[in-house]
Amino acid sequence: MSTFEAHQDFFGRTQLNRSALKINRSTLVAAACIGLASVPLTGCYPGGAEYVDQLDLVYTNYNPSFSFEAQQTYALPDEVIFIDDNTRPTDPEEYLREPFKSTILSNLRASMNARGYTEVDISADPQLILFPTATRTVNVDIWYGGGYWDWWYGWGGGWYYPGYYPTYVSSYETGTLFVQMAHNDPALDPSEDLPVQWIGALNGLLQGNDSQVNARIKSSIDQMFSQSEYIRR
Amino acid sequence: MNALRMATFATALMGLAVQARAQLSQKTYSWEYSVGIPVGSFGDFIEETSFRGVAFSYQNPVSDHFSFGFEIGWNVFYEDAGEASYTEGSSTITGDQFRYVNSYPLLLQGQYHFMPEEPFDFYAGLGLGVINHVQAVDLGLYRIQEEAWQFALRPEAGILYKVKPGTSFRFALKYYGSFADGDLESRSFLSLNAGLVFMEF
Repeated sequence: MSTFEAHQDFFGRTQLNRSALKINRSTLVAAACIGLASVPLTGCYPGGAEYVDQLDLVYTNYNPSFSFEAQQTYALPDEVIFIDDNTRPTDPEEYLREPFKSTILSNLRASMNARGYTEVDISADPQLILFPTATRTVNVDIWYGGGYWDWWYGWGGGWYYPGYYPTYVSSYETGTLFVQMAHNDPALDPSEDLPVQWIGALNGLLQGNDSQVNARIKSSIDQMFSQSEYIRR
Repeated sequence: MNALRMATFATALMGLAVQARAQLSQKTYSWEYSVGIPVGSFGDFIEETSFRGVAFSYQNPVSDHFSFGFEIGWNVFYEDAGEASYTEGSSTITGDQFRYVNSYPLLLQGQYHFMPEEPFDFYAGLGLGVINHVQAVDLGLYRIQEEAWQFALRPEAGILYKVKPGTSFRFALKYYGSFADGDLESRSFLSLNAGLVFMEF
């Protein structure tokens, strides 16, 4: 550590030692170098999202070897399962409240119909089954929640994803809507896992009034299908 | 008359020659404000000009006109890329993207000064070293971050204007040629720098 060295000149005036100044300038340079070198530890990230909908993400994935065009019928449940941080697999089913439930189901129905598929009752042995699940949780495996659908469909198996891998979602103060499209393959034994051939996910902040959230849900479901052109008869 | 003109011209040339023999005699250090303009593949990734940049350099004279030293800097590039879809394999993700690159040049450099004792001293320089690029893409609530150390070559042309003994203004145009490595494409950029140079180190 350097210090200024001072002495008094002949007239009694205080003088700074020049060599001491030199040391301190060197120290300043060294400090500048160290200061700039330490900047990468933090970085600078100006700007960023200003509105909640700028944080919305729409993710889709599918099995490339599955023939979507060969399918004709689909079924959609009457409810959207709701899961939050406190939900346990053994808890009774919770459903998403209105108006979000109707927004999700009606938009999924409209999108599937627009792609040429015909909705049938679950008892009519549909070829495709859509399982919408809404979550408000911290960490979610996208394949989590399959067991919740057992009560509705009566399927004994779990899930698997043929030919692709779904994502893992880690979030905070966010909501995620998962839509899983399973193939009701008649060749499968009821004890076998149900192949999910397509998944769509919307992830975003849970903020805004009902109409704002509804608008974001609608546009995101539209986006799920517009980036999944292969879902078409 | 012609002889007089010739003599005047010769005297002027001699004067320039004398000035040209003036030496770089002082160590300098400088702080510069830097405006960065991404080019090439970097320009494809971020089009916006960066007005967030700073550079520090130190030069030590090694001959009459040549000095050798180093430069460290920091430039922050940012762009709101809007909503876009990105597909990889069978997965597609759509959202608003905010792109960032924090670039930290660490260079050894040489400078040739054409008129070191003149009020206006033009110089040209070449820097060689590495640039640490920390690239981040914010997508929804997630950040995808990559970091690379890229080899860098940085030609420079500038002018020093002496405002008082021991202090000059510097104006410089620099090109930070940053070479792609396996993890990141080239992140080259131009910079317009203005700053203060202090002498009598």
